Amino acid sequence: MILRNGILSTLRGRGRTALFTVLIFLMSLSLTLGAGMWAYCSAQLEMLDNSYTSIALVEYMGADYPDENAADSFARSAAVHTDSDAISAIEGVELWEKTDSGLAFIEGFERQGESAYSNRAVIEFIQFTELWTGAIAYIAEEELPETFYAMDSLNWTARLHTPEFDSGFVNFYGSRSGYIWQRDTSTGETIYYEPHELTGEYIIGADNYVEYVNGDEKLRVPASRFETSHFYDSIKGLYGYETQVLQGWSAITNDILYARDVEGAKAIIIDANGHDFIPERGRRYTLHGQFVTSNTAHLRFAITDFYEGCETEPWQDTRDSEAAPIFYEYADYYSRANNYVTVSSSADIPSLEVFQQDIFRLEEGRFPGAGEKGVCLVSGDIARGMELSVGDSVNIKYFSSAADDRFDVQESGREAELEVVGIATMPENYYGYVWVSDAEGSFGGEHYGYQIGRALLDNAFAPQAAEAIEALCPEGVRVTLFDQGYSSAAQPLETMRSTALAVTLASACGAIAVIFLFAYLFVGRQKETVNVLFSLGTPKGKISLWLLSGAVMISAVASAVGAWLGALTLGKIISLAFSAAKELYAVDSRYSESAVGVIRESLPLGETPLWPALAAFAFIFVLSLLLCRVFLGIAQKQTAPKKGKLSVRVPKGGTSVAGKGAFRFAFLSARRGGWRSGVVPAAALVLSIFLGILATASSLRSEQMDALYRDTEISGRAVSTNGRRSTELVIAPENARTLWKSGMLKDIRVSISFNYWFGKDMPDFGTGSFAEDARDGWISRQPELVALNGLEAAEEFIYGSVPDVSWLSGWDEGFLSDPEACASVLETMSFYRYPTLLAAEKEADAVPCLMPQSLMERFGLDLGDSIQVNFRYLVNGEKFENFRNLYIVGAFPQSGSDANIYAPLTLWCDEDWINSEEDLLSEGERVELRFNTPEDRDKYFYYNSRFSTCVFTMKRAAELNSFRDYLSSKDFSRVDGLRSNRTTVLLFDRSFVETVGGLGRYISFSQLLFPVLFALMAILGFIISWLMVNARRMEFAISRGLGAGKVRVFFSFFLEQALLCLCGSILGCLLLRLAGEASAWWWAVALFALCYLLGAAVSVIAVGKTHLMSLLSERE
Amino acid sequence: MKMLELRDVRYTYQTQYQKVEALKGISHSFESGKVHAIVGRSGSGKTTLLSLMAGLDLPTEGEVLCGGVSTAEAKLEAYRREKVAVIYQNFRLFPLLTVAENVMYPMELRGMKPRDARKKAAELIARVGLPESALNRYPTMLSGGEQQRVAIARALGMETGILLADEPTGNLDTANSENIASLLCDLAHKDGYCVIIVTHDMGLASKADCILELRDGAVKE
Repeated sequence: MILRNGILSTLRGRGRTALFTVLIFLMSLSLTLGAGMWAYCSAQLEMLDNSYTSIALVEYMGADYPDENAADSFARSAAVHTDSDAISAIEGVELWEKTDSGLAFIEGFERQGESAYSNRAVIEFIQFTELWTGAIAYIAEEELPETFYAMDSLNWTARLHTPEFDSGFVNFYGSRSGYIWQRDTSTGETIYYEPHELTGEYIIGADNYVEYVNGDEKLRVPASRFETSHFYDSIKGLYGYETQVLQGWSAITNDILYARDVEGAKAIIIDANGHDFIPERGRRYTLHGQFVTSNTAHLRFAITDFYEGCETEPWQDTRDSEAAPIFYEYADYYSRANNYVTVSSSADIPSLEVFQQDIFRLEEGRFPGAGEKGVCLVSGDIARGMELSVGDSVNIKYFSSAADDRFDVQESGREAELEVVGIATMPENYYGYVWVSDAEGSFGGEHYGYQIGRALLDNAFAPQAAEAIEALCPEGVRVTLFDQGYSSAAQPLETMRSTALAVTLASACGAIAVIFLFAYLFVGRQKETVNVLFSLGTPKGKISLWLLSGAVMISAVASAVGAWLGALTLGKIISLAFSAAKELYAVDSRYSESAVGVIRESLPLGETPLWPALAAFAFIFVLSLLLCRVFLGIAQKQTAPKKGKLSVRVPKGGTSVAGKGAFRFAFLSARRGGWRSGVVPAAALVLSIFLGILATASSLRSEQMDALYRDTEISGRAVSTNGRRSTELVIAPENARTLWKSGMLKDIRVSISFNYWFGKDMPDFGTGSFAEDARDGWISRQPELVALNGLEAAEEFIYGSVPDVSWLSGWDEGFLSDPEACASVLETMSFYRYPTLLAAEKEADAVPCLMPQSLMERFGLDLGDSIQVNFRYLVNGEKFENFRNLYIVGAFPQSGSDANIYAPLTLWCDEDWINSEEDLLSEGERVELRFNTPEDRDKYFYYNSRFSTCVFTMKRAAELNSFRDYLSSKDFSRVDGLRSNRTTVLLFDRSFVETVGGLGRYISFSQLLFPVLFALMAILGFIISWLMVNARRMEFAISRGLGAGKVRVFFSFFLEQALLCLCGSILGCLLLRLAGEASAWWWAVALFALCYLLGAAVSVIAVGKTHLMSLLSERE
Repeated sequence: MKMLELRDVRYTYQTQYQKVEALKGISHSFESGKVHAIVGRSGSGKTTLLSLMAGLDLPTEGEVLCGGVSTAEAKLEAYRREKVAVIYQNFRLFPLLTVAENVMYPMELRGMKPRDARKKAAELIARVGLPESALNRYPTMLSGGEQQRVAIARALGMETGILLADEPTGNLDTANSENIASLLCDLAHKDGYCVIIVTHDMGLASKADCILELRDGAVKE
């Protein structure tokens, strides 16, 4: 009976009961959804964290990057100066390891692919036969015969016997276009003549003949009639002529001590390569040398010294004796050195770049564990080549390398017997890798390559940790974060989790507030019921049962339904939220530096948990039980007879006569409302401040966004097709121009490099094709003369910063882009038919340049001095050599391994190749090899040139997406199509995109959140006002009963709410003002007050709808 | 003088379960200078009738005439403000207004200035026999009899000529009941008010000049 009546009396509360049932239902629903989403996201994030590995690769960006075997002193210095302890101490760094690898040899392993001495061989040859071939011989001017005819690309020189001159011989020079000049050998003066001015006693020339005119008589002498026909090489300063030279010998292999790719008897051309090797017929010789490129079908073998300065000749007659031991030693050495394996050690092999980036994968077995000794993991080619299985053992003999050449190896004496515990895959172009644990590591010796080390990072802190590492690294070191796409996979989940947490907390707070009110209204205010029950002698327990039964039943049913519905819809809500969050975090990473490395596939969505629904139900049910019990105690206490004196409550100031009408009533009610009058201002204060801060933060974010778009400079550059490997930065001028034509670039800087050398530095390579190869090789190893229009385009500085330059007075970096800075080398290129080199004008103005201080010290040079350099450039596969005087206008500290010199771009071309109004090439125009005008010549070089680097800066960061679209429309970075633009462009936008993304998300959130918040404010205003006014509806009825008009009664209550709300809001405004918040909050506070008052007005109107008669007849 | 007249007043209302005919054609006249008592058992329609006379609602059928004008034709708010004053059983005082302010409220509704209203409130409070010190107290600080006096003072302040009292002694002890009864009688007999008392207290009813007994919504003949 008690239970039934308790429940029935609660249910008959109707409006109130319905309201709180709905509120509790909503709270438990949102609590279930919030907690469920939070739990789900946490579990997913944990799964992601376990599945993804983030590493930061620390590399020195040296001249030969990314050669992993390079011996670069700057990289070594950077490795030494990288503070391992400081990096290890960074939050988020789980493991820091300096690169630890060495070369070794495994007996029985034959390495595929490139190796250090792959062309070296020690072979015994038989059947030597001389080979003669046509070649060019060079002689000095004084060695020329009495009469000769020599030509270069434009000019000719002839020496004829003529009776008019006492000496009997005279040199004449002419141009193919008809000019003729004579040089006075005594004064060195050159006299030019126009053809029509010529008189009989002079000689004029043309392509292939020399014409002697004497009065009416003309004598035409074909060039072939001269004793020899020469050509003049202006670079060498020598006259060349065709002759027959002994090219070498043809021989048959007899005994191959070592040759990597030669087997059986083969006919091979032997090149003495400057040695005095002259074989005798019928003998056999063992030769040490190397195979070189050959234009014939036969292999070409060049005899080479064992080592520089070796006194033992690299050949030996072995017809009657065994070859000397050194031949065998070298054969053995090459055999081992060419079959080297690279051994890398790590405490966490799976996080090594090659595994983290899925270059290698574990195919069989397992990884060696941290600190595990005597075990290894081998690459698939070793396992297959040696037929190894997991459990087999290999004997590894370690090499020690020479400091300047990693492949100049010696056996170090260290060896290890290792059990193969795992076999990796066998990717293309990766041969001979062994991985051991850190316990087997520490290979010692010098650092090779450019990878300084690697940090294994906590996925969640990876970007911050990578940034912190970069801050600790020396100049020229770059840190690249490879997170396998963790951040893009985790960000939506993290956002969902934090949102879910906020929703959970807000729901929990809301639930506490609702249940508090619920318990107060349904139990705490039932004094009369308690009185009646008490007066009827109802036992205390039954009174409790009466009051609690209904309230607890409502909370139990409402929370159970809410939790059930939450559990039912959680999966769908998560799916929707995940799609929305992914949309929100969808970052356009086209051409972005952030799109590096492999991206793991997203994990599938998992099962939604059930426990949050149970927890939400339990929380609300237990809370309502608890609070109802508390209020029950209070109600029972209040009904108990009071002891002691009652104090007489008199309002301060007594009866008021201030004000008039509805305002007077509202004011008095507000003033005397006690704690009730404190609720609204307090809520208004808190909510005003909350919304004000939110609005201010949102406004600040908008301002920051504007400032970011206004002030950020986004740069970019052309890179190779492998985004990370930033070598081969080459870009065709037309592609650089395409970038510029976007109209979105502020500047574009390009460079073009030529290997340079000082004449005296070049060794004498002798003659012959092998000598030419050796000379080419030597030149290609020389530092570079770089023509550029901005130092930031220099490869040497591209990863670091532009150095401080000491300038010659009156000079600055502007000279690099000055179109008048110097004459172009292209002007020395013939525009007649084919691109051939003209004689350089040695007297041409010197080229201003920036020179490394180290080079200046070497030659004792100062700013303002000049020095001549030779340089070579390649166009369309052809090599051209030239020389120029360089005028030193600035000096800088060298930061790369090469002493590069920087000259204005004009040394090659004008900037208008890139930024002129009109295109050099018309649409679809293809340039022919033959040309006859300077314009055609320029087009030819424009079309066939390749800039070494190209960097640019965008005008406005706001145009980033448009620029991406532009790049896309121009097919940049399309490596998959034959006709597509394979030039890859990389934009350095990570920091900008991340910041803008963060701000944008905040602003988007705000834009979504504010309407919801204000709607909530209106609902809150309605609920608070309704509760406040409803509790005073008797007063409402009395006023109406006494004849107060509806409008007056409405305003009596509404103005009270307005007054209280405004008090809180104004106080909030004052506090915000005092806190120094920006002015953006006022509209949020005003809007809050408006929404609240709207809710209050609705609630007052709703109360006013109650029937007056029934209201006045109510007892309580 | 006929102050209030009921002409075949009927009132029907709908509960959750049924249609209830609370008043079944009541006709009666109330004169000034007399105390009228409406008596009857609980549920006989006494309070409903009082509410209709107080202008809280309109009869379903019939008319309530005041000064010859039907309440259906008058503006009910103005009628309540200017024609009738009601004293409720539970006093119905504003808890957040002082005694004086409660009394002043209807005067202010009629446009009296607060200062003047306060002066008059003090006179009325004195007239109903409350000390001056009560003026500045909250009604909840007063006893039931005192609160009822405040309610009477508030009604007097309305200067309507018709005084409706719903069980005015229902919550009071005998002494207080006596005092309130004599106060109401004085108001009728000395000040010429038309006092209509709804009560089931036959002692109070016996002091009335006229008695109207209701049974099941109709006048008991």
